[in-house]
Amino acid sequence: MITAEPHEDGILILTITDNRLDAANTPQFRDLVIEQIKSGYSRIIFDMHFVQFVDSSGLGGLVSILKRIGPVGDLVLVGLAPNVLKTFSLTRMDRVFSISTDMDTAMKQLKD
Amino acid sequence: MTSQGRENAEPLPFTVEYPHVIVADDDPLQVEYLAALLQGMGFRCTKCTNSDAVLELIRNTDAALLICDIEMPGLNGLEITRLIRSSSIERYIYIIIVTARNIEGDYEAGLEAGADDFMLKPITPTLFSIRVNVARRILNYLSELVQKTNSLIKANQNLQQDLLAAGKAQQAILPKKGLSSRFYSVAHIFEPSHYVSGDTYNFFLLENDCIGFYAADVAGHGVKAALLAATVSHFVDQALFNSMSFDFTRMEYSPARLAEELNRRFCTYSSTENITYFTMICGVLDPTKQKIVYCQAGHPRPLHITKNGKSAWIGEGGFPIGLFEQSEYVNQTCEFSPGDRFVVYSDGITEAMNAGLDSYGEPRFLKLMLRLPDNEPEDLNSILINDIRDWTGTQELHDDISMIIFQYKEQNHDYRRTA
Repeated sequence: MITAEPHEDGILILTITDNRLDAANTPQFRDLVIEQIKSGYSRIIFDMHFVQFVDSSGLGGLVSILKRIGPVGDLVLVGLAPNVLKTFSLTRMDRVFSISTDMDTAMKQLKD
Repeated sequence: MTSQGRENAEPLPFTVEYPHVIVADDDPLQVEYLAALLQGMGFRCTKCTNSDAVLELIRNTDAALLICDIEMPGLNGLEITRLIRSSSIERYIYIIIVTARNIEGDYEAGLEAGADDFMLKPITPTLFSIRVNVARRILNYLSELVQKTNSLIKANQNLQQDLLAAGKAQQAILPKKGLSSRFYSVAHIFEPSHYVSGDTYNFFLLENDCIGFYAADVAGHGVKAALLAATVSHFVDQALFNSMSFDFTRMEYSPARLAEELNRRFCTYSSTENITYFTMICGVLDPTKQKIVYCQAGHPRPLHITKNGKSAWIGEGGFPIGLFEQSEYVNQTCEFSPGDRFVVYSDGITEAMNAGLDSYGEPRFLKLMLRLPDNEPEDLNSILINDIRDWTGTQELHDDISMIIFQYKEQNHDYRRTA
């Protein structure tokens, strides 16, 4: 589901290893991420390059995590597949989430 | 449930703490002795000295425990045990085999035939009472399980019936038929993937021959999504649509106002823990202006097909309803002339997947829409559903499917001159 890789400066990289984020796996995904947030991480990068499809439940899960991290932390999404980007732009979520094309930019964004 | 139809069976009989026992032995003294012990312990007891009658006794009483001698004229204890195990008796019969002979292999043969326990004569009251109490414990445990299973089956049946009724109630909210006005014809399709659906829509004839419409798709599936969908469709009736989507300062339709109002209301439904939202498209078709003004709130891009067969997926997207209070909604417009078609649909169509996890997709959907005959066919539903099922094959539909097709009738192209 996800692998966690803590990084320097308290940044956490979470790689979503499933190729879909949908009604079936989103609740579990959300719980796992919330666990990480509870353990103290507030600056998180989602590496999503395995994810080929995000449905409405998946989108809801991501928004819920974003709201949870809230104004105190930061969330950056990396490696969005074209199909996933399409869903994001259709729902304007590309304006709500920070989205980076590569990990270096994402890290830089979080350190600033 | 299996063909045995347990769901209709009465509660199983051995729910009492002391099961009914049958004692079978060709020796009347032995029968009397065991019966006396059992009655002393509080069991109800049926005595049987004719081994051929045992099976009938079990069938005709509520006996749950059989204490049976091996050596009897007629059917012996092992044969009786095998008959019981292979019979259609639904309840479990706990069988204790009793024998006077200590023949090597009897014990194994008894267990193999299906007996639960084995006792050697002479039977002492102490050991007997321990063995019988083991049987009682297991039978009571079993009876509890059966009762729980039965009540689960019953509860599940009730839920299924409720869901079925809810699905029907929900379908009753949706428009029953299409609509045919002076200028437009409207056809629609609804195919829920479960009993209840997260898709909802409606269309209304407004003033000046305009038609208003909305289509919403609640995130997620099942009852939770369906409840919100039902709430939306009750909430957005013709009166609300009319008042909320009309901008009285500009004296024109502004569906974005309706989206804003719904977002304001439904944001309170969502919490950080529990995100509840829906995508929507709402709009108004105006025959005089030959335009559609619509607001796209995260719903799939509608399809516009002109009279000459030119097609375009239109719309720039927009925030879904219920996610962020500060979301802003805008109106978009589209020319809509006689002979044109405008297709609004839920992503259950384009995201329907085949076994290889490839989705049906926009291109296939467009191809089908372009193939539709000029006049809206009666069996539009089966045309679409069959095409999608051809694609998905044995895969089940995972999402609800809904679609509305608006067509500007051609014969009214000279409306402005004749009006």
